[in-house]
Amino acid sequence: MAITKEFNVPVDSEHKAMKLNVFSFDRPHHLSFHMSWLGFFISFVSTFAAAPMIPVIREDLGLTKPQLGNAGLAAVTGTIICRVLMGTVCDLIGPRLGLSVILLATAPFCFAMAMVQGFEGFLICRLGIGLGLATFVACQFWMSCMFNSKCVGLANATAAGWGNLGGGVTQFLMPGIYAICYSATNSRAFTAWRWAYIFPGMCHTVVGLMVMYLGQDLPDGNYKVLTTSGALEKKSSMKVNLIGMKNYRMWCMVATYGFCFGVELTMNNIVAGYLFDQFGVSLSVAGVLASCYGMMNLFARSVGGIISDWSSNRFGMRGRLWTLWSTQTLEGVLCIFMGLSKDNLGATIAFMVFFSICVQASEGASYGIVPFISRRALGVVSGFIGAGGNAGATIATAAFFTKDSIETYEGLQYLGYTVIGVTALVIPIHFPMWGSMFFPASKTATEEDYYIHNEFTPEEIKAGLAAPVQKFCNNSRNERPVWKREQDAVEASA
Amino acid sequence: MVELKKLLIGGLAATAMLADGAHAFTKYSEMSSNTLGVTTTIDGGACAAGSKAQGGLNSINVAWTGASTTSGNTMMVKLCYDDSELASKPWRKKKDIVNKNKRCKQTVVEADYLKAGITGGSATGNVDIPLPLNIAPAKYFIQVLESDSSGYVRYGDDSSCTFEVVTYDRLPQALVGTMSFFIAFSIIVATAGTMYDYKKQNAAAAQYA
Repeated sequence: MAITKEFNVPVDSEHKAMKLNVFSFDRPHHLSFHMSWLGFFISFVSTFAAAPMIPVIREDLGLTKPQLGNAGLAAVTGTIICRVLMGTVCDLIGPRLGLSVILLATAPFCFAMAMVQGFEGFLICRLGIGLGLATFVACQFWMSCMFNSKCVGLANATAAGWGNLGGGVTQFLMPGIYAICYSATNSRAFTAWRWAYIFPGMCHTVVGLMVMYLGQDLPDGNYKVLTTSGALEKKSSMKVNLIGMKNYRMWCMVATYGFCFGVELTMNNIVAGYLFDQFGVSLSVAGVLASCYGMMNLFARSVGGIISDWSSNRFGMRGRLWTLWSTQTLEGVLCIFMGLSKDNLGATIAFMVFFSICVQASEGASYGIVPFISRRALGVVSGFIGAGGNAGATIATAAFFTKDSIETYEGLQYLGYTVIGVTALVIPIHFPMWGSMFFPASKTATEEDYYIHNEFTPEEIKAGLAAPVQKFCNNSRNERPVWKREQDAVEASA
Repeated sequence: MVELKKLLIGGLAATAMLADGAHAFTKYSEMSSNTLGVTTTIDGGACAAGSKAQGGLNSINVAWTGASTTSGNTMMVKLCYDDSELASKPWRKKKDIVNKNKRCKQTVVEADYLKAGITGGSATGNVDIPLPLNIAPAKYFIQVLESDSSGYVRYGDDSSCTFEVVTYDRLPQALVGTMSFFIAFSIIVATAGTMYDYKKQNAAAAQYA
């Protein structure tokens, strides 16, 4: 595992980087890291650009609370299918193209938002812009291809965390851009918010091109070259989808991710309006306070990834599962307390900050587990789980934050109880060779059984299609419980 | 006898204070017997059903009767959403506590009052108010409040005049033209960029074909 001539970082047998250095821009690993989080960041900025300007937009377009809720739903729901499709796209043509094309394709919706005149136009544009959230799947898939198990949790979490940061940054960035446009339009508020949408639109176009030309799919090259040369399997869409969908672990994580990332999306939609309406703070103050929620992404998601990697080092995959269950259960508890603090702004903000840290740590911990659910159908699994995040946001928003009969602070409490209940689905996630939260690993099961014999037919194995996966099996033995690693070491020395 | 005299004097003083309306209130329901008569005209013309006014262009004249003659009292005018504009909009919720009543609060450019600090001290009065530029397009009525140094003492709604506020052209040609250009530009750039990359990748892969 020495530094090779080709790469400036230590790499494993798959040429995946074994260390993450966020200050490096070296090709291909770290430049791709920066392109992936930046693309995801921009999609979050644009998807939630409307939220801090809602007090102006709702008066301009005459929107009701159910209409606002439905538009917020559209922003996170439309991308459910897009995320599932993105998983397959990543498996077939690579994450670089997937990420850049979705950014470029959603740019026109940002510009079109400036011309809406009623609820229908507002809904369609938020739906179209929200499709950009599929960049998340490409981002995570990309990092799983570029970084090995020693730091994949950290890489996934940092890239996604910095991407999610867009949801926090937009809460004060868009009001700032709105203020500039307000001055430039001679104090015409209903025109100023429309001009402000030029910013996310331009970012989509510029960053989309940057990702396309500066990123690289895999350490050894782009998909087209590698599939043509035979170094990479040319996958069948139907086959990889079936492999992914047959794996019950994926479905458990679809649900659990729905109530960490889904909660974050929901909060990005409602928190500025909640602070404005419940506590009577000004628009700009509500935006700044609301941004604290998303700003925790700067470090909190990485913390989740770091704890996941650390606990894996100590306890194997069992450590990763316990990390996820603990952070996400605590998330539910803090959500309840945030709702209960409805009469105290200071307490609300304090609980909101800790709640946000737990939400993002749970997301980081989730994607410490996702790369191991399937190897051959990694894109499909990433896509479905990512889509689960949006499905969770849809369910949470529709159930708790759209109806007139439920106050927002009540909705927060109900959401907290739901999070705690759904998080119990981490318990049945069991890997035969690594164990689960409560059950031990099988003495005889191996990584080859799970990743090769389970996902390839004997004919495919004979044809050599599973050869690249063997390297992954070797590199992921660190997920074994300590007793099994020691047993392995004893057998190796014997 | 002395105690009785003190009680009588206190009672008379309290009655005098109540008659003067000097006791402050915080809720509308507490002022239900202390009301002002309010009438509104738009740019000098009578307010009738279907009357319209534009923010930043038209002015309204608000007149009131029945106010206190105590010097030092001030009047304030609020623009309140009509009943038809409240459904499913909790940010316009009607509340009994005057300072928490969202029904008469503007949120686009935050304002609790249309005009405040108008000198009182006379039983009748009126004021001309230019309508601000950024009023939400909706139906409104006018509310007038009287306050003294300790708080609100009287209020009145002009329930006979509900007028509609319309706003300026929110989609000027410059905005429409610019955004239409960028929509076309972004589609062209996306198409051209993707095609160029496709050719570049095919060229790189050609050596392995």
